[in-house]
Amino acid sequence: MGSHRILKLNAVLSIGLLLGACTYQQSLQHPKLPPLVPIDRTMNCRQIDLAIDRADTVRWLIRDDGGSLETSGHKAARYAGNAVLTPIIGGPLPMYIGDGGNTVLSAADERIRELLLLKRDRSCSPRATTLQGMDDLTLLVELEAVQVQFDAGRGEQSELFRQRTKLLDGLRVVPSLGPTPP
Amino acid sequence: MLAVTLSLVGGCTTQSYAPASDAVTRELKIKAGDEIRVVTTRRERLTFEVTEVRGDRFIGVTAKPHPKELRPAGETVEVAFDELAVLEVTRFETSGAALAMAAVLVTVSAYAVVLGTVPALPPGP
Repeated sequence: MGSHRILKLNAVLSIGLLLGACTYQQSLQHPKLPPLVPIDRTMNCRQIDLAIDRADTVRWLIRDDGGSLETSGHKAARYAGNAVLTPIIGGPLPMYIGDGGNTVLSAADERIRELLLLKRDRSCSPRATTLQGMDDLTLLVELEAVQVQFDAGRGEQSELFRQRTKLLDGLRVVPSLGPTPP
Repeated sequence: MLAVTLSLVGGCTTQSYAPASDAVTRELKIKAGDEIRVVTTRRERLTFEVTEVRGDRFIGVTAKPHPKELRPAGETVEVAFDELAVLEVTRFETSGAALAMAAVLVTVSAYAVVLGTVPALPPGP
């Protein structure tokens, strides 16, 4: 009886995840950004800001294509769904529930955080964000507070991901599209 | 014919990059005639055929736009290397094509050995 209920719950979760995964469609292949390497730590302030712009653009692309972070609960359900349910509902063509961009988005988030830390260590000038009254170095303080809670296992994971995503979504004031400056 | 077709398909690889510097972009060895898809730090998506590679930028002509791309086909564009955040290029790799060709030939040979005949496509109408 109990195992029947678990199977049903698993089925509902897996179908939900499958539908959720449909919202993540890569318009072009999303590169997985690497963590900072020692040579990156020799960058000057201008280069750091440029690296942040690049990483933020990759992150924006993933978000714009429907990518989101995945909690450990979702991940467990996805693994269970892929292992048990997918061969049944997949029929002759095996289906696979992807991670909804979690891997590439996490890597982008982490690189941006490292770059912001480097920027602060170098005492570079802060830049404005789209968040009211917050520059990028103030945003880093908030981001670190979320990360501390996350690392300590305090708080709801989905809520911490929501906060992190909201902060990083507002990191950069993007210049409007127009003619390229000469 | 089938082997040639499959090897051509098998030889095409699409690779996406997030160049961290101008030097890394140059190392990709993009050349005139390549069709590339890029996303710039101004969050613009573009697909274009490269007509010229300068020291610090690509010059090209936009191709038929993919979804979410705003510029029409046939427009001249210049993309500076320091504005590049994502670059995707599809290339024909001879090693991949050779591998695909070998796989097809091995399969066909095995089929011929087992059944004593070579598979053939039915004649067209």
